[in-house]
Amino acid sequence: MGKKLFIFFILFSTVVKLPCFAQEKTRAEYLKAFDKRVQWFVTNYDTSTRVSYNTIIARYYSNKNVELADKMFLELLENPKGAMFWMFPNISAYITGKDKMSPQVKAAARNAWKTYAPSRGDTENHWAMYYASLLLATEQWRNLPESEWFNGKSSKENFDEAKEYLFEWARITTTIGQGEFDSPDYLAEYLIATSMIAEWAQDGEVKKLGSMLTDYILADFAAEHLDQQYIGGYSRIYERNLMRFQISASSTIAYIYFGVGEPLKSGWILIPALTSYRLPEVIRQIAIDRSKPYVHKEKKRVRNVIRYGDKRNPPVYKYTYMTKDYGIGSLHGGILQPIQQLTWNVRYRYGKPFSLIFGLHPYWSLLEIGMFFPEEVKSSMAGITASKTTYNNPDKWNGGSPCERTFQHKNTLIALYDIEPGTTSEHIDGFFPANLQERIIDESGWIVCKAGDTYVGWYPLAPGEWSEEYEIKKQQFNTKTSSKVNDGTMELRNYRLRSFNLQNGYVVEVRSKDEVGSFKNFHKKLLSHIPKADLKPGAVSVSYVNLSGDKMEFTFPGKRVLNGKFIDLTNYKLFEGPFLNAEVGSQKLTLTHKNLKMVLDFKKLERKEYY
Amino acid sequence: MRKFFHILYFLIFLIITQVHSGFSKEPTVYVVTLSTSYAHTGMAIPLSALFYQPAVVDSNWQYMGRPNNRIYCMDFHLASKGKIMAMATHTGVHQSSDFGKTWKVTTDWRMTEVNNIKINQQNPDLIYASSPYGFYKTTDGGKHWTKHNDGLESIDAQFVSSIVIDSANANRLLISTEDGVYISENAGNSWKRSSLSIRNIRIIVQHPTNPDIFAVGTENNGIYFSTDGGNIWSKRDTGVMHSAFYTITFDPNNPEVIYAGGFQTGIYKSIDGGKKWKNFFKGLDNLDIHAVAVTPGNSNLIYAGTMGNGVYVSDDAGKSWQYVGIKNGYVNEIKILAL
Repeated sequence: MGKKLFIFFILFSTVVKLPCFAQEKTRAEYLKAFDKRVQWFVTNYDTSTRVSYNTIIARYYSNKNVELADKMFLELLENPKGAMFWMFPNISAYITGKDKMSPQVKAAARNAWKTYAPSRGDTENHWAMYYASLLLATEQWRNLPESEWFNGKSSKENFDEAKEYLFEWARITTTIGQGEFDSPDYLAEYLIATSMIAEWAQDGEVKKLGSMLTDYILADFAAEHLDQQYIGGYSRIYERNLMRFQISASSTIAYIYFGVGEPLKSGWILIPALTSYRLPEVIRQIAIDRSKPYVHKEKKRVRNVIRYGDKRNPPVYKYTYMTKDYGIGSLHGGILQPIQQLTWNVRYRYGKPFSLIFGLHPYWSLLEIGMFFPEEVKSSMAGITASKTTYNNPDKWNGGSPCERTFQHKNTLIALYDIEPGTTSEHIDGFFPANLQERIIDESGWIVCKAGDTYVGWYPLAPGEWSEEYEIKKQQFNTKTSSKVNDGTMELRNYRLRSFNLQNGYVVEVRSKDEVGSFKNFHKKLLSHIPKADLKPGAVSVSYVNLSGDKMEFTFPGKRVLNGKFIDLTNYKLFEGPFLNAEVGSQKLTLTHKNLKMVLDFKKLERKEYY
Repeated sequence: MRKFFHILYFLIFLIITQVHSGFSKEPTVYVVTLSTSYAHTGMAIPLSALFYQPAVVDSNWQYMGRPNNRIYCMDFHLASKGKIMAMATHTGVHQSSDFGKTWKVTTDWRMTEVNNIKINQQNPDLIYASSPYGFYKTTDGGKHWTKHNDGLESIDAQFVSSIVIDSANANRLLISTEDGVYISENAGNSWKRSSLSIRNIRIIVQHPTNPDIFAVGTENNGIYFSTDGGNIWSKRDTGVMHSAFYTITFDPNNPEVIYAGGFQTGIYKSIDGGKKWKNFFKGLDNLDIHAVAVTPGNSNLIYAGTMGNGVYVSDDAGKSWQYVGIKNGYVNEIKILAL
């Protein structure tokens, strides 16, 4: 008993010492609290004895047992692996510790960049990390000949190529949009790359670019952030992270940089956190000010299409509606990214981590694989499913579909599906967490849900079946948690609404207590708003007057009419909303919050702040 | 006239192979792998890339690197006895001028997922490469690469999967693309589509002694042949029960004998120039075949590369097969050179 009490005391002491959610009012308070959060974060690593690059970096940074860091570094240098996931922590460790480490470690680190040949990878986050790391390495070891580098290029050749790539990536991102956009999981990889060069690049232009790109990607997140959650459609998300948003590195980013939510310590954020980069005040305010509801629109781009398509980088149109209680956001639909896309979701503050509702068509195909991966298409499926294990699972909870399109207006969303027979899969699914306070299946057709002060109505356009899904107790961060059977070790996680009509859809209404009053009132209002649908193959359509009186007419795949006016998505800007604005092609992002203003001009490589 | 030139080139090739002692007197089998176990980026990729051994029924493979790359294809400069080598990889073109002891990546971020490479044997500074983004060439041994997509207008046409330098005319190139077969008469500077209406072409090869004959393997429509230099095509599928073909190989000792493999096909063999085919799979644990090579001077000794199960060898001209190593290898190409 005494031992238990002691453990409780220790745990409690640890908890109360953590710099938990405390919104700092002034800039000075914020900076002080930021440093405290970082220090707490670093302590997780600089006291660790686990052999990892994070431990090494933190120990060098904090000057804690450098000999142990040296020993660990040598051990890891004996068997390099991980490509760019090796490059960035390796060069970070080297730069952080080079004035402290032994000559032996220094020599071993240098030698690794000669003998270990890391892959450049195959996606944008890989390339960003690869070239950011390579650039920093060439600055550490200048003027070396071809024979001293893993790829047979000299220091100068590697530096020039890396710099050129980083500027080209910045150009295309700020011109037609980011490719791997708005990924709660992969935001970290970009933040690592940009913050590294912002901190350590000796080339002035690269350093400036790194700092501006860090602002850019954090501002993008800030505008679509609610209480540590990334709102809206995602280019990429792992299923486990979708269910538990805290696993995604973006939630740790929100804690460290925005100062909101519960303390999290995704190891991905250690390197960015150790740099001298400090979030501009305007971005912090954008991240935390939810005093007024707002619409935020973005234009992104599809990852390089290499076959079975008309355009190399088709546009992605993204729409997000944010309030202080909830956010709902969507991509316009179709295959916009391979494998891990999530087209839409609504997230709210209540019931975390299962604080979301969404729907999808769980699609997979050789067509999708062929669009984005270069190997022979039929042979590729096995390789894909080896790492993305749920890709060809009809019960999966992520993925885009050519049979899916959305139409969102503020807090009303319509999703339509027109599925050819024989398509994988021949059903659509809706995710409803088990922790909803209410989930009323009304005879009107509406499913009426209550999640704290957020209310969600879901009107299926075709009948569906409910099933329950369970998750292993305690092992909440396990990747394979979902089951349809409760064997006693599981607990109910969610309800699945599955509908087998090939022509299908639903209307989703989201309101808060502030917007409609009581849940009862919300329920009552829904009853007089029944969508009219026509579910003919090749002509799926719906007409609906929403709770705010706006008439939405939507015909699959792309005819969207709001109050009689055709919605032309091609008019979307790169960013458009109360906080972020950028014209397509401009390479210029303007950030505003009340009297704060910042302009990131990538053409001029210039950041201007106005107060 | 085309036949005359080809016979001339063939004689030169024979002279070279007889006269030069090269880096191996015996035929040598080179195996190109994407990896030796399934691996996604960020994982260690054990011993991916290039392996070699003498062409015997053996499994004593030597590793030549390059690790951590998905290697799709390789080529040698024969006159230099293999001193000059080039590999097409997902990170670009890797070149060696010292028999593979050291390598240099000669391409930059603009060229990625390079899937095929051909060295002009008369001028090794002239190298062609292909990728899902189009056709590339260098005229200075890799110092500068330029993209040549004139005529390859669509995204599918720009997905080039293999290259043939016409043995009768080195300025004439044929490429397989997702849109069909394209032909260049000016060393790859511009392209025109052939009349083949079938799309999703995965491989194109040329007959070793008759330069008018070409064959292509397709993703969905089996095998097609042309007997007029690549202009008119016809399907030859008697006995073929599969649709996706990624490798076609003429027996260099008897080009009437042809082998083909693809997705879950096992080994197809024709002994009449592709008119009729017979399927063989005895001893194969993996029917996903991406590479077949016949030993020069020994038509019975044949190698096959699988996606995930390494290399198999047949010493009875394809009737039966046995595993000979490169565990878990995703084999994309096998070349057997006798120098």
